[in-house]
Amino acid sequence: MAEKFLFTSEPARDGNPYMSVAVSGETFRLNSNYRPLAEADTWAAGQQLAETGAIVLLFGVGNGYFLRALLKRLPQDAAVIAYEPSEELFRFVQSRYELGDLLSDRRLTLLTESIFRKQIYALLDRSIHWSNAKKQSVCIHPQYDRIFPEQLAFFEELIRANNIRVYTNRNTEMHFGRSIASNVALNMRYVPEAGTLSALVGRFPPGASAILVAAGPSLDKNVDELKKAEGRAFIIAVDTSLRTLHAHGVKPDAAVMIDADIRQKYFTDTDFADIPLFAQIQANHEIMRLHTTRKIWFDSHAYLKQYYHEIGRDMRDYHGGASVATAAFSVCAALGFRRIILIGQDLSYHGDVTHAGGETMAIQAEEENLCYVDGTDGGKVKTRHDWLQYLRWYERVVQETAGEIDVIDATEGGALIRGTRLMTLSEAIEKYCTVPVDFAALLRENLRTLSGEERKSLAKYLHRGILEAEKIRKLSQELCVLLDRESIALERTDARRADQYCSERSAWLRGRIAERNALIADCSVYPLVDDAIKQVSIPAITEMLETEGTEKERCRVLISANRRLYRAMAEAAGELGEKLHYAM
Amino acid sequence: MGEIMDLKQAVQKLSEAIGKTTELFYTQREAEGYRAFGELLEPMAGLLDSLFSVKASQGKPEFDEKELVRLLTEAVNAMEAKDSVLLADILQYDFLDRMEQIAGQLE
Repeated sequence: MAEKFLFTSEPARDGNPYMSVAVSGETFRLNSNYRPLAEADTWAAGQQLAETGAIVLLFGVGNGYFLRALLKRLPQDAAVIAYEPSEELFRFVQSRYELGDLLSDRRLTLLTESIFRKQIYALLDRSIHWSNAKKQSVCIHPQYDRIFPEQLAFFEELIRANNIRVYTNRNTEMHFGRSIASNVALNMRYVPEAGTLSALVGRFPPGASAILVAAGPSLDKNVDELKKAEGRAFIIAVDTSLRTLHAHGVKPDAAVMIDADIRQKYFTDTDFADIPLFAQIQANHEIMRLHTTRKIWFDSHAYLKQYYHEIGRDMRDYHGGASVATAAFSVCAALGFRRIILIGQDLSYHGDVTHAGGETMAIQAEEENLCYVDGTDGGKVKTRHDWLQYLRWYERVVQETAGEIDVIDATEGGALIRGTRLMTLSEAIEKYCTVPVDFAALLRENLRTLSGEERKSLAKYLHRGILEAEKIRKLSQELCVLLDRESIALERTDARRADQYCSERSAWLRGRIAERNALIADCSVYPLVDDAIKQVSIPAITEMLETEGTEKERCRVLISANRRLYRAMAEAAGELGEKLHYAM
Repeated sequence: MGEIMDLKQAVQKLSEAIGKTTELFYTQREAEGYRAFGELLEPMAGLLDSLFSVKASQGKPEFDEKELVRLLTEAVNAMEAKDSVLLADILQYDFLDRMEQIAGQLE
């Protein structure tokens, strides 16, 4: 039963109202009953906030005093995400206190309980990036830790998980950026014959189920059952499960591939070449070359998206999560399936085995990130940080789509995904795979390739990309020359006037870089170049953001970091130009 | 005269220490706040003893002894109830206020 709250608002000694909350026989005063506004100012002054670009995550709005004091302290470039865990409290406050100034403050996004869980993930995704993650501050409204301990634990866990996501993404961008850029450029040659997922949305027969085959160890247990579902459900398999499926004589309706560096061994001895493929264009180009039938883009790189935009075709992003299985789930959800049956989705070890077929695939720093979670059998199972991230993603999406999508976990082992229904695959097929699905016919009827005119415009687009890559190469080289000159001038500067010189020169230099950068960023091929240099640009930008010290030291970092960045950009632009030639 | 000057200085010193302690409470650094408050108890008691003894011997400064004792009791109650903001308020706005009034008489 929900706890009953009693709210009161009374005048404090200084005449301003203060607020109290009574719950479970205890009363909590949210403000000082002497001078509540002065208390809020002192509280706000004590919060550790970044001087520029601060992002404040506030737990609890109360009667607005603390939030107002916080906003008073923050500059205009700050952002505050405030979460009020009690709808009742917020309604009471709205009826007693003036909040108009807060609600109209453009720095503030206020989420009350009813919308929090639906919006917070997208909001954090938009607001926090590796370049500003260190500017976050978490503030807790006085007494909220005592009144709402469970919601606070959830809020803090959410922020922790988001930070892991942010830094994982940064590492992924750094690690795969170069391969992604190269794959996109080389895979552009497949665009004329490929289609997009949008063309298939809502085309499946009503009541049809999707079976998502992941490659966890439990797949070995029930893979043979899958044959019974052929033609009775849409069977979509992640790339790493194809060998197991092939070994058991199961041919899925479609496969999913997203990885930029996925290894070839997963595709040997499989039917991969002639299974329709839902893919990201940044997926490994060597594997893409082995694939000879229909490719369907379900989430696209900005470079391809720009082309589709120019020819007026819909290219929405449907990708979710960070694994190929979560991407496959998003594909099924976007296609309109109202029932998705998961198999091989262990998200945990089986002994030391990580994948079907008794395979063990290690990841970096695996030993440091092991933990135990609830299993489907009622006990505990061992998992690792990447699977835990996917598990939380599933739980969130299952919760968000409750009532719209029925998710059945027929893995028959592994970690418990809260919100799913547990069932054996045999039972799930018997009960829910009753509507015939002919995916090959569906593709034939609905998937549109490029028309003659569109193919010509693609050739022009690629040609423009080649010219733009050359332009970026030249502009970057010019900036390198300029930065070299500035570096020499800086070292020759008289030590007595170094600070003044550096201050003026840094401002001038930033202006020149911004000017050239605007020309570079305006090119449609720029997103590719940007990806290609992540391994250099991320550390360089981090160094510029984090360097402290004298004007001269900061100026030296500005020059050296930009020098590394633009040298990498010149090289990458040259290479990408050549790869786009190949795509033509 | 020397005794009164010492008292005045002691009030000033205590006032600064109370300000720092209450700031800890208002900024939710409760553990540090209670530690600082614990360290304040002895000088507070010492100051009160000195005030009582100077008043007894010299007839000034004038103050309500019972009220001071009541304030300290309220502060202890707030501490026991773990109401750190109330404790800070009592120290900052009641106790310190009285101390400053008393110090004013020591001019």
